[in-house]
Formats: sequence, C-alpha cells, structure tokens
Amino acid sequence: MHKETIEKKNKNKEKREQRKQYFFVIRELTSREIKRKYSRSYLGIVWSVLNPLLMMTVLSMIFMQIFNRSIENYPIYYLSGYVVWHMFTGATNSAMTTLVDNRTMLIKVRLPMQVFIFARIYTALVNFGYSMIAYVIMLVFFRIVPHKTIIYFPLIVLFVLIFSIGMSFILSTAYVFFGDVKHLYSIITTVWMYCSALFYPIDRMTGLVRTIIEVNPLFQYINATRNVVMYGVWPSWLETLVMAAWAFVMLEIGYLVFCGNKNKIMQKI
Amino acid sequence: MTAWMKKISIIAVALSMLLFVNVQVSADGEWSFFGSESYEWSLDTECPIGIYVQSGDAMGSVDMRVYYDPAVLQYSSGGELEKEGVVRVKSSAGEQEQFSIMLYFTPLVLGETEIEIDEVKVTYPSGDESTAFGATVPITVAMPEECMLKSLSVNGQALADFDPKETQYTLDVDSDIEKAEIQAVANSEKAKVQVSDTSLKEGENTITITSANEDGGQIVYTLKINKAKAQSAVNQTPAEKPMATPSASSGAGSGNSDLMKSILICVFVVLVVVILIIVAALIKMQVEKGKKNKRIQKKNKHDSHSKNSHAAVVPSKKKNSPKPSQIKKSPAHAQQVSPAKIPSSPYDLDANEDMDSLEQFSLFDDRENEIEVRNVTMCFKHQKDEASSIKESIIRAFKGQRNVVKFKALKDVSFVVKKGDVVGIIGTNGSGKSTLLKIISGALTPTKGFVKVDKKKIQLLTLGTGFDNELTGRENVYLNGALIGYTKEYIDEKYDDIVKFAELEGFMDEKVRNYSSGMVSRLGFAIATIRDTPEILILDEVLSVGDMFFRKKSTARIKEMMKGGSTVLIVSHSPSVIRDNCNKAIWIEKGVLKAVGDPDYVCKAYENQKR
Repeated sequence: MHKETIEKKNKNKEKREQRKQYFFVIRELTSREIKRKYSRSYLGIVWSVLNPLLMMTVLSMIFMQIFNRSIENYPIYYLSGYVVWHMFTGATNSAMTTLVDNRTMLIKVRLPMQVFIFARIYTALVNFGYSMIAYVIMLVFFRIVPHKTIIYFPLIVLFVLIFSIGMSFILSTAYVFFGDVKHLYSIITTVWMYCSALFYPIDRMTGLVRTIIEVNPLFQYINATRNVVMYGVWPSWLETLVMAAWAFVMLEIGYLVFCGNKNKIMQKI
Repeated sequence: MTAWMKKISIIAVALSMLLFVNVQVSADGEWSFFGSESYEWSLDTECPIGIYVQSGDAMGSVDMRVYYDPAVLQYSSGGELEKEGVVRVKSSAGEQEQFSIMLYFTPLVLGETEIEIDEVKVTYPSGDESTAFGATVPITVAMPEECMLKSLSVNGQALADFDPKETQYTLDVDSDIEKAEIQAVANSEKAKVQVSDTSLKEGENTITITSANEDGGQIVYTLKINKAKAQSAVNQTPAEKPMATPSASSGAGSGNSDLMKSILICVFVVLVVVILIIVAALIKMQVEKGKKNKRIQKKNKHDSHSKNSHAAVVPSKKKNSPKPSQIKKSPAHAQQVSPAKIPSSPYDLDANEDMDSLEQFSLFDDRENEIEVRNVTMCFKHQKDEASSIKESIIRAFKGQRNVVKFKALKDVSFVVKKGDVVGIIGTNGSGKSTLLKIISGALTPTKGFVKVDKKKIQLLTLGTGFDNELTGRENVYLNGALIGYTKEYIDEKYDDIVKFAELEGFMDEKVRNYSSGMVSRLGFAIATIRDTPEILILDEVLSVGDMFFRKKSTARIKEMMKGGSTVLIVSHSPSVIRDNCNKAIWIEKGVLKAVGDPDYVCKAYENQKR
C-alpha cells in the first residue's frame, strides 16, 4: 500500500516535470515565433501595438461617417471587436500551418504534436497582450472609465482561446492533407468577419443575417467584450453558458479529430 | 524589446498625445454660429438668416460655405451661389473680431430642414490661416392653415395617427388591393387637393397629395404604401399601421436593394452548397479509406499467415537474417534451418556463416535485450500522383478512382539489440534506415509487428533540430535544448560548456544566419551531446561533422558515451564510420534486412553490392 502511494507520487512528479518541460518548449517556440516575425523590421514588436491603432484609425475615418449616430465611441467599439477577432484569426491561421512548417522537428523530436499547436496559440496570446497596450492607450485617450465588469474580460479571452485551440486542431489536421484548406479558410474568415459585427452595429441587421450573426460564436465573444468594457453590463448566465459551450464543444470536436488522425498525420508528413 | 524600441514607443505615444492637444488648441480659436437657435419661416416668402463668425483676434477675411436643401429652400441673395445647395460666402472681415452677413432664402415646401455652415476659413491680417468650427441650425417652414388636411383616409379607413402637421406616412396593405382610394379633405374649401396616381404595385408605392390654396401656398403630403408580396401576405393584417416617420431602411432605391439582397442570398446559398459538397466528399473519402484499411489489414493478416507457413517449408532469402528471438527460444530449430539456406550470392554466404556464429554468440549472451524489433513492416499508402488539393480529391471521390500505391518502406524486419551494443545501421539512401529509427524512437507506429523498447530511455541525437537562422546562437541553444528535452535550469547550467565545446566563444550573440555550416553543426553536436549519457543513444548521421579536428573531438565524445555503457544505434551510409565504432552492424536495403552481424563482414557485403 505504502509502496503504491510512493509510486503514484513519483509518477505524478514525473508527469508534472514533463508538463513543465512541455511548457518550457512552448515558451521557447513562442519566443522564436515572435523574434522571427519581427526579425527584419526596425520597429519590431512595436508593430503589434501600432497595427491595431492604424487599423482603428483607418476604419474609424470611414465608418464614423456612416454610423456616427448609432454608435458612440466608434473607435473603441471597433477596437474591442478587433483585438478579440485578431487573436482568434491570428491563432487559427498560424496554428493551421504549424504541423507542416515544423515537419522536420516533428519527425526527429519526441514531443507530442499538440505542443506545436499550443506554441502558435500562445504566440497569438502574446500578440494579443501587445495589442492590449494599444487598447488601453485608446481607452485612456477616449476617457473611458473602466467598469467593474472588466474583471469578466479575462474569462472571455480564455473562452476565445479554447475555441481557437479547438479550431486549430481541426484546421491543422486538415491542412496536412489538403493544402487548399488555407485558401478556403481565408475566405471563410472574411465571411466570418463580416458576420461578426466587427465594424457595424448589430441593430442595423434584420432577418436571416441577424440570426446568423447572433448565432455566430465570435460575435458572442465580441459582443460580451463590448458590454463588459464599454457599457459595464454583466453578461447573463445564459450568455456565459453559450460562450463556454461553444468553446468546450469546439475543443472536444477538435481534439477528437486530431487524435483520430494522429497516426495518419505522421505518415503523411 | 531593446531599449531603443522602448524609447521609440514612448516618443510615439507622446507625439500622438501632443497632436491631440494641438488640434484642440487651434480649434478653440474661432467659431461660427447663427443669429438665432432656430428659425420658423413661412412658405414662399423671402426670409433672412444671420451668419456670424467670432474670433479672439481681429480677422482679415472669411471664407465659408453654407449648405441648404435645394428641394426645400430656394436661395435668393446674400452670398454667391456655388451650385444648387451650396452658397459660398467670401468676404473681408474688416479687421473686426466678429464677422456677420445676411443670407436670404425662400421656402418652397413645408417641413423641416437644416442650414449648415462648414469649411469656415479665417485669414488673419498677419497671414495666418485657421479653420473654425461649423454650425447647423434647424428651420421649420410653417404650413398655411387653409391648406392643411382635415382628414385623410385610404380605402375608406382613416389613417390612425393622422396629424395635419405631419406630411409623411407609411402604410402596409394586402397583396390583393389593386388601387388605393384616397379621400383627403382640406381645412378650407378654397384649397384644392390633388392626388397622384393611386394604382398599387408590389413593393413600395409613393403617392403624393398636394393641397394648394389660391395664394400659391401648398402642402405636400407623402404617403408610402407597401404592398405585400403575394406569397408572404398570410400574416399581414389589413389594418393600416402608419408610421410617424419613414424608417431609414425604406429609403430611396428599394428596388435596387431588393436586387442586392437576392444576389447576396444567391451567393450565400451557393457558398454554403459548395462547402457542404466539400464536407460530404471528404467524409465519404474518409469512410471509404477506413473500409479500405480494414480490407488491407485483413489481407495482410492472410498474407502473413501464408508467408509464415511457407517460410517454414522452404526457407526464403529473407531467412538470411534468422530472427534471433526465435533461435533463442529453440536453438534446435535454428540449427535445422540454417544449413538449409540457399545462398543467393557469394558474399551472402560469408555473411550467413558469420551470422550463424553471431547468433550462436548472442544465444549465450545473457545481457538484457535493450531493443527488440520484431517482424516490423511499415507500409506507406500513396495515392498515385497524390491529390494535394480538395478539388482533385473530390473529383477522384466521385469518379471512384483511386490509384493507391502501397509502398513498403520496411519488410518484415526483426533484430535484437543487447544492452551495451554499439550497432551500426547501414544502407543506401532511401533504404528505410530513417523509417526504422522513427519506428524505434516511437514517432511512427509500424503497420505490422512491434518494437519493444523503453521509449523514455531513448535519446535521438540529430543535428540542428529546429535551428532557426533568424535567431542568435544563444537563443538557438535554448530552443534546441528545449526541443531535445532539457529543462531551462539544465541549459543555464551547461551553457558555458556547450559554447566551449562548440568552440564558438564570441559568436553566440550573432544570428545563426551568419554562421558557417560547420559552425552550425558544431553547435548542434555540442547541444546534443552535453547531457549525461543516456541509456539508449541514436545517432542519425552525426559523426561526420565539422573539420578534421572537430571530428576527432566529436568521435572521442561519442566513444566516451559508448563507454558509459549505453546502447548506441548509429545510422550512416559510410562504412568506415561503422567499422570504427560498432561491434555489430545491420544492413538494410530497400526495406529488407540484408545482413546482421560483424561490422567488417556486413560492411564488406555492403560495399561489394554497391559496386
């Protein structure tokens, strides 16, 4: 009995160490991604901050004219959606190609394949952190006093991350077998973006389009972000439940797809 | 982030703040306004409006544009008409702090409108130019009492919230109403009421009711009637629901937006259908693949059965490499089989004889089996000219045409590696060496057979795994180390040793892009071998790295590791490396195990074959 517990403890310890090691690998891979992304640019990581600001400026200039009356604080309205949306697309787009990009490593190193996917997701999260700098600057700039509800924001980010991981599992698996998933997905994300009420008010939409937008999980996340940051409205229990359900169901499906095809992926690569 | 980046970002933030503040300061200088906060004018009389520009300093001249709605107002005088709807006022301000001018307009129809001042440019005597804030003012054109309608009814029913002062209404009607019958009664009998065409088409119809008195005053009422479409008329009640103001969506060009909508819906439907087809095709393919796999597996089972039984009777060439495990279990059996071998070529004979002795030797070897490879077959299924795009694979799926080519990378390979053995695996390119290593290290699962090995003990030593040209040497050490399985603390501790061994002192903060290939492989070798000797070490083409001196050093290192009692697998296509280092060699050719045994013999056989 005593021996068993010791063995168990040892096993747990081993597992913990392994997990720690995986996390270290993920961190190293992430720092590589980031350094590499900006290795030839002078401004480097500052671009991660500048990018959302520039996008915001351009789109605000165009759409402020159109939606002036229905949206107050249009730049913040847009930026709230953009940071969340960008994290999602950044994560899924880069994670999609990760298995193919790292094929040599996959073959030679005994690491679970998920590590590479997680590294890309983590990269997206770090980038999101940088764009948060821009976001905070803009919040201060437009004198938006943070509401209490802002403590809900990390939870939303977590949901989006989990959702992205699920999507990434599916996409990266599909990409190993079909190169054109990449092109198809770029179109899908464009359609998806327009269906996420990123830069227009949802009230303008009626009928089928509105239903599509409201079902869309990304819209749920974006909408919740706006409510929490801009308007100080707590998401209802139902909304929280829907957001969590989307995230975990997607993760589950993605994981099943990924595990089912693991061996095939190795062969193909 | 380096320090200068931080500085730049701080400067950028400060600059943007400064800009923001600047704009506000300049905007505080001057502004424009109207004489009154709102105006009430009556129809067809010339009405004045005062426009002012105020500044803190004496102004030289003022230039601005005044916008009005030409459908409601007619411009009379005061400035200069640039085009319909825009009046330009350009005048000297007489070095006063306030500038004022009167404009005259004549209202044409009733209702509310706005006049807007914009693009106000103020020039100071000093030559400075500045832009002032614009302004807007609401203008109401009152209605002549006489012309107001007392009542307005459509098809016998009075409009529910009719208000004489409100001139615009919207109404929904059923699809079966062909014509709207409108009764409009004016307040005074003097006023004449005219109604435009009242026949109704599907969709939106605009009917204007004009009530005019003798003096020329008139009121235009607009009635928008939405006639329901024939199919969707089920739920609509005939009850009129006039809306006080026309909604934004029912603006001009409703026909146009209908067209757009239907196009959009079409495109959307097409997209969805395409995606569904793709998904269906993929699923179909997957299912069929699964079926096929099962079939293949069944076939394989069948094959292997027949093969085994066959082999027992007539030993095939494959028996060149008798399975040590079998021999170990029943030595008598092994002796029976061995003499029956049919040598297929002269050197095979040598190898065989030697191997027999080796097997005998291994028979009495009581060392532990470190790696057991049993009947491993690895099948890769390739589609002939493989479909790399969804389009192709869909076409194939529908045609039912799949040219699956099975490629056996390894055919029924078995061998045992004892603890402490240094085994060289030799073979030409593409003979299946790397596949074998992948299977042993657990990256691939064999199609048939199994490998018995403690995967935790294995260390696969490959050079430059995950080396990134854009990173510095130092960063690469950490990345590579992490991938190989070192913890951060371990790398921190051994970092100096690694650099020293790789002889790269002073180069570590430079990007690997600028390294020579020898430097890269030296660094890779140093990282890979710094750790304490693992129990099983697999070296994949590692021993031919760097210049002569470094090679000596690296060979010494490997030898040291071998002496540490670990089991080593060396993959190489250079026989000399294997002769120098190994005590056992395995020759694989085109997936078939050709020979196992003494390195000299195996290498000789390999070299002979090559010629």
